[in-house]
Amino acid sequence: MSQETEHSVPTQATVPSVSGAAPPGDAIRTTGLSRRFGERVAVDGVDLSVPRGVISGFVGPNGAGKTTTIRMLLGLIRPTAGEGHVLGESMTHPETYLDRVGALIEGPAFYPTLSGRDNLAALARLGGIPRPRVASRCSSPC
Amino acid sequence: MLITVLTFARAGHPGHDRRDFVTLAQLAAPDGLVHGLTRASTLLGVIALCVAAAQVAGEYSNGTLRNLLVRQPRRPVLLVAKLAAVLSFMVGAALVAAVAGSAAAVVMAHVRGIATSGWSSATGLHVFAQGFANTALVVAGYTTLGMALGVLLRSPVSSIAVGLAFMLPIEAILSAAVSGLDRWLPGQLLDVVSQGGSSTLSYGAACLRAAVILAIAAGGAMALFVRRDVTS
Repeated sequence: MSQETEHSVPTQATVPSVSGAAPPGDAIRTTGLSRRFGERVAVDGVDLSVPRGVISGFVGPNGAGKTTTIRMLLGLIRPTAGEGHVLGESMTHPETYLDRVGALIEGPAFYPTLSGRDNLAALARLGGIPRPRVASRCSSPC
Repeated sequence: MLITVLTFARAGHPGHDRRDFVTLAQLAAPDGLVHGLTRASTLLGVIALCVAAAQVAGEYSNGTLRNLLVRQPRRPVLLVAKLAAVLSFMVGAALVAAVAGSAAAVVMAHVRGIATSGWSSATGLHVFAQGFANTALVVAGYTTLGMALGVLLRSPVSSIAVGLAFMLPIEAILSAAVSGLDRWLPGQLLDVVSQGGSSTLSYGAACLRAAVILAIAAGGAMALFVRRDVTS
């Protein structure tokens, strides 16, 4: 269990990881997930297992590598080492699972030249929500 | 439209001897309608460069790129779609500019007493279509360069500043300093394309060289976009 105890990101709702293929019950599972930026180690051998159907927190001090880990799970950053699965699909092919994932990384990002309503409509269209539904939801009062 | 108006207003002005002025007789020729559009090509291209650079780099600086990539993780698809969107917008803008410029040309021809019968001849329409196609190619070229700079620098201000600095003064200085180099610089090549060829470089050669340079720029931008981490 050396990896389990060595990783730099403390987690809650972490259950012991298993080797081999991702069990169907895991929403997220990583094994030895690491990321270096030059000499700096941002994420160091994270073994993480989050079962499906539970509400989990991923907490740690600033600079612990939480955001980097989540960005790796979303395919925004490549891991230096290790592997992971999200919803049973390999992290190396995020296109196979990201249509079933919702993510708000750190703060929300908006287009400054668009109105709030247009920003919401753009995000909804990115999510594949049909235009009529977007129009009806964005025009109704919050 | 403003460039067309100025072109017609200054045409055949007595006492001038600058080569960039056209005569009233030249404007009455079948290709007279495209003079304004041809002169506006570089300006339209520079605008296209700025728009493309701002659009692509803005996704990085605003942090909205991560929204896009979470929904469309196939990065080549995303970048090509982005390029196609900006390209179609800018070519549409060039079409609007061509139509508005043509309307202005008709008005100015009436004011200056220039015969316009040649413009609507088969030759005139062909030349106009070719002139617009060249302008569209120039806009596409500048758009591609702007996109590549946006991907490379990830900052709208930096991308636009570097793009304008290179395409305008630096290219001019390099062209003046090194003989023959202008035939290998993208801005100079696109200028030749907009004019339909020059005395030193044929239209086909300019198109081919510009296409090679733009393909290298686009390929480099694509490789960078696909491989680089999104940390913003």
